Amino acid sequence: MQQPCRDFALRCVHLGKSFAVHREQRVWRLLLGMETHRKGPVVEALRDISLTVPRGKIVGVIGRNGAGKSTLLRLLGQVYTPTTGSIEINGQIAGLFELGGMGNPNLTGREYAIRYLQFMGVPGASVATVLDDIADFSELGGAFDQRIRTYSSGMAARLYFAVATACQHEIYLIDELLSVGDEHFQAKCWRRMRERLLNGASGVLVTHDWTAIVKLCEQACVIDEGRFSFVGSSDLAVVRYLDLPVPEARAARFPDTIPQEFVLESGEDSSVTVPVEVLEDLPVELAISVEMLRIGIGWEIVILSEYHAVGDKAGRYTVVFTIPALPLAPGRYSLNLFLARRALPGQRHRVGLDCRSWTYGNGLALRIEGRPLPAAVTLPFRVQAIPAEVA
Amino acid sequence: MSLYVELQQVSKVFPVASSATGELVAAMARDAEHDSVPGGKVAVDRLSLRIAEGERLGIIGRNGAGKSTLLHMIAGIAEPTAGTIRIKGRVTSIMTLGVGLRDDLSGRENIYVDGEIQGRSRAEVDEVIGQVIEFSELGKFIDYPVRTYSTGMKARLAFSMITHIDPEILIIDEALSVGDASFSAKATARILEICARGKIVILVSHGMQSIRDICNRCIYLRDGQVVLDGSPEDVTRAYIDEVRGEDEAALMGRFAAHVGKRSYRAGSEIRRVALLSGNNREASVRVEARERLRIQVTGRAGAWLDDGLCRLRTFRLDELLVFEQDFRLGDFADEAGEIGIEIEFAPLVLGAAIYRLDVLFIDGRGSAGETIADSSTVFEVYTLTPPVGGKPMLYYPVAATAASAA
Amino acid sequence: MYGFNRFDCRLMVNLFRMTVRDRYLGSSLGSFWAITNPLFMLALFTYVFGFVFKVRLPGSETTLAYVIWLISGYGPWIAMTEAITGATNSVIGASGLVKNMAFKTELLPIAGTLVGLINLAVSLVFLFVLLIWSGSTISWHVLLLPVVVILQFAFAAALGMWLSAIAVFIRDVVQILPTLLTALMFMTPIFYPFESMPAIIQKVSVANPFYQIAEGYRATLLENRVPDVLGLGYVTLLSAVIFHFGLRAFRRAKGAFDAAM
Repeated sequence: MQQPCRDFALRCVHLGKSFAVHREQRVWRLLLGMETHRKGPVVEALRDISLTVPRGKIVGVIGRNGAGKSTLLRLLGQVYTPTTGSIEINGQIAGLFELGGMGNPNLTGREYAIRYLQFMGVPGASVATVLDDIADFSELGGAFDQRIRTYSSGMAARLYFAVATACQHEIYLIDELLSVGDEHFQAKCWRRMRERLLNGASGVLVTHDWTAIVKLCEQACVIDEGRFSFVGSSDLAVVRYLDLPVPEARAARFPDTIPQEFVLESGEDSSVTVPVEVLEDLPVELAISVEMLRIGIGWEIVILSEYHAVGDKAGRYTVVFTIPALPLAPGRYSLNLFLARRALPGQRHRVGLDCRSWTYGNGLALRIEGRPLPAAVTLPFRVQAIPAEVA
Repeated sequence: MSLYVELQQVSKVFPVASSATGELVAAMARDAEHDSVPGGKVAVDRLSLRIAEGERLGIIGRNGAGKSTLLHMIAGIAEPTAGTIRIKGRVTSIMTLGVGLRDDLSGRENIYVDGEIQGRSRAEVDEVIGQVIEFSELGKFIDYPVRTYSTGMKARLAFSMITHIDPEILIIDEALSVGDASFSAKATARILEICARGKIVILVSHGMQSIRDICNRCIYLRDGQVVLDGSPEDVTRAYIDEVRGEDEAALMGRFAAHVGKRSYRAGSEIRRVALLSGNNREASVRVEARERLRIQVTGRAGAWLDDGLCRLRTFRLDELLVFEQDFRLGDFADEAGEIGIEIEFAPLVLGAAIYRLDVLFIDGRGSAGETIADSSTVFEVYTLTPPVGGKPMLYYPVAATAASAA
Repeated sequence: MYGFNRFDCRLMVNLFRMTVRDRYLGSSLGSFWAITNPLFMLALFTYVFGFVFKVRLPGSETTLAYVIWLISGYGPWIAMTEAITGATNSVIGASGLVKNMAFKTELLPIAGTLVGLINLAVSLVFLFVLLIWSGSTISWHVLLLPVVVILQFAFAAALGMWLSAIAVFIRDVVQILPTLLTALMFMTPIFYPFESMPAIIQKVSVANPFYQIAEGYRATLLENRVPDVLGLGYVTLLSAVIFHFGLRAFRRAKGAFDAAM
């Protein structure tokens, strides 16, 4: 077999797709192979999309509804034919476009699974084992042999996910699906995707859920009205996607003298000193959070403080947050600060005045030094011997 | 003449028949005199309910409690097997979004078709169509066939179509989640507005917050019967409490595969791992956050006692190793070699989630650290007062002092 | 061959099985109908023509001979109708699949065509029962039957290739098709002998591939002779040309399926 350049799993160049609005408009020309002049209105779903998925990586595509995410995924999966541009693929593709799209609600879960496996060309001998795995993973129990139309949407989603990921494929094209089921099932889905990734799978994840992007992808693109408005590391893509408006900092703000990096010692009683400038006579409050952003692994708020009063008169303040026995493992974190006006009686929400947060693109770095911990955090504890028969 | 919805001894039984023919026979043989068809699945069981004008009723319950069936019967989509339903007023129901959309028609044409189904004249639709289109934010796409829409756009169109109804009795099934955050917020606001206009609103939802926001009365259904009827605050709270208890049992069942004790060397075993929350004397798998937690471990390590280690590892549900700590077994053994360790977290600062606790006895000799016995338990940390603004990994106390820097 | 490989063959078998399953899924008697429907039609025709009208073939004593003759043409025709309809609906009916899986969609009309095989099998069994009952002799010529069957389905697949692609864009095809097929049936000498057509129409009807196929069945089953080689050669050529261009048209059009479904 010919071995083409195999350092990427999937690549597309200047991909474009437009749909004719009236489907009758050019059938005959199309069928007879005549030059098709565009007549009538077309919907330009995608324009000039270039994307390279390296081997063993999942690239995220994040965008709002209607931005062309699903169309892009189907183009990459060769279900749709691009109007312009080209796609190169190295490997077998498993597309999870529309959950259960190929199913018939009158099939039982088992029949659906068999149909899918046959379609993917799974050899007959291994079908039985894979089926067991699907039945087990989807936790459908006896419902596995009942018709899909009797399922709740959660059960159906579980089945579809279990079926689509039952076999190790080389390239996964995933549309939103990790938002199915309850917390427990979602965790299972993540574990499975991670496992597939470790075994060398590559893929594209298309979603509007930014936390999913930072969990699975190092690289991500922001898609907006059919074109990429940003390509780069996934945290920057998230900042770009969220495009959160930083408050104008008129009534209160963090002065420019605020350090860009804080350094703390793991396990020690620590404090973070934040300077605040209050410019108007307002009741101002401040909260901090420590977030752990590991691109490709996930994002997590580790510590979240409550809002603490800063002052209600204009002036310069310093707020000292103290964290006893800092429980975090050494490493890099993001320190976020939120300055807000206290909610007045009758109001439900505080009004944001200024902030420093990575999601706004202006986060502060927090470096924690010290002896490495075996786990993500440590918890304060006491230990004692007890008589063995008491417990 | 005030509007009302009244149900008297209403039952709905779905015959469990092995074939469609059986279903047909059962449906034909149905006798209004009988309360139930034997062998059927009872979805709604002799339920009586009266909803008066001005009431906004929330219906909560677990999946399969009969919520949707009840709604379908009130909306007139399904017939009760027994009992009577009397309704005064025009019923508008919003069940599932986008089912009625016709793929080959443009968005605009769909709005007219929907108007026809609602029994409105073209002139009436003409009056509101401008607002509908504006609300849907579809722009030029409104004149393109629905086939060319993305899922989100379809949802937006479908939602916009229902927002310009003027309901007398409004029935809404499940939270209407309409795609991206910005539109979703707009949609929620609109739903609240419509509900305020509706003279009677009946809402089924799993979202306790939306029940509390929208409704002024709430019923809790279980097995097709009303268990509780009262103010949304009281009923939702009772429901949450009850669900929590059931969840505990379900939790252990689900993780049964992970849970267990194993011994790899004769003479060593972990006899018991118990979690005691607060001042409880009984072990429990549900642990309250920010409360004291004691983990008690007993066992034997036989010949490995002197060099052995007890390792505590806590994994979160998503396999994140949250906490790991080693203890020397020898420090916790009595003369007979029986080990008893109590590790106390006061308070426990772990955030609300499901965790797995692995306790391992490890051969401390050599660097490999071979496991000689282990035990796994699953526990859940819960809180009644979750922090505002996010779900942190730790509920860690952070103190603050502010001082004027002037 | 034609861009198909062994994997595609297996896929086609799966698609065929799937089409059959989906067709009867949800009906309580399931694929029972696949057998009963054509059987019922055949029985109905036997009754009407054999017992009500008591039609006889020229030079024949019994009506049974006519019934056998009729069914030897009508049975394959039911299969033909089924095959062409199945192929035409194959792409539209599998929209979920087409929009979600990357595969050679041109297999769909072929698999759709094959659904007609079930009807054909039922008709042939019915016919053989009648033949044996009437005491007719079945000669070695029956061994040529598979050739006719293959030609018939090749022709249906060729038409199906075009129709299925067109139907995606112009749904009207699905509406007209049954009427068109009924008209075609009466234009083809199936209920009446070729000879009873006006002479001028006879000349045109020789070019009717459906007539040639019907003749093929009758030659091998009833008349115990080798079918008209020229006629079947003509059908072969016609099928090949239609299929060749049909496949090309289909492959051109499938790039635009996504926008039309």
